[in-house]
Amino acid sequence: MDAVDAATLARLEGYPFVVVSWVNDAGYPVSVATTFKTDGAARRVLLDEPGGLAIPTDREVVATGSHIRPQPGIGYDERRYLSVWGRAAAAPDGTVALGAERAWGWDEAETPFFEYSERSVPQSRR
Amino acid sequence: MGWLPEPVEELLNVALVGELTVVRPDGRPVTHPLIPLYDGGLIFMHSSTLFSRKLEHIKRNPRVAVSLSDPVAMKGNANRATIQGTANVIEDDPHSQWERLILHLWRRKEPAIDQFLKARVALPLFFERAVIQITPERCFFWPGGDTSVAPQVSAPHEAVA
Repeated sequence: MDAVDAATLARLEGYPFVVVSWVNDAGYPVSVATTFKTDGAARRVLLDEPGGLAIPTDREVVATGSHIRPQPGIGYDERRYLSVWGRAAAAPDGTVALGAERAWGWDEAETPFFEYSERSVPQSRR
Repeated sequence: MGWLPEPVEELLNVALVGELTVVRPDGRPVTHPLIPLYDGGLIFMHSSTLFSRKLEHIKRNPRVAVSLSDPVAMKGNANRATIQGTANVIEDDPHSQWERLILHLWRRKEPAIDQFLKARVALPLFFERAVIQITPERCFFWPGGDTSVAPQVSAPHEAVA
């Protein structure tokens, strides 16, 4: 995983929404899509609070932006995603502020899929 | 065969990507965008047996969630859903077992897979694959995709809310 900087959050802004996930008290992941904006200077992701599923402030959450382009008759391309992890806290403007601590992602345009797969082998063994 | 609400099954049948979230050994969540496959009862995803730690995470803690949230990846269907369930990693025979279990489902969504299969000898690591079989246990559904309102929640054999 990589440290988060303003450029990381600027890339996240390129996604129209993020899927926010955390682990609930029963041990199951919970995921919900929501809109957001970022504050690069403060390294924060400001999440619009989903209804009925409060984003917890006592454990780590991950916000993931993901994109593909469907290609009818073929499948899809333009795969990319970016995940940002951190703790959330209520913000004065009513949003939930995720303090971005670490990030990980992949962009097919930068690293072709099969190269990415091969490069992932050592990491997956750690 | 399955119990998921019909609109959620529709999402599963068209989605080209869904976000699989698994739990790391330290209890933190990790999210992986993957192509979800559905046979009318179970959800299937798949992964190379060599490239990913997600399989090890699932073996340690099989509780997972699958988010279906991107209308672009779901033929414009704006509904959204999250399905919680228990996952099982099937990897007894990574060379051909996945083909028997999911190739017919995968091909429907990504026809190009047949072209890659023809070149499988050149991509041996990619085609040593494990199947992630997910049994749905709870479903959150947002009609119209509006997650600013509480989801409709359902579970097998009962309407939770």
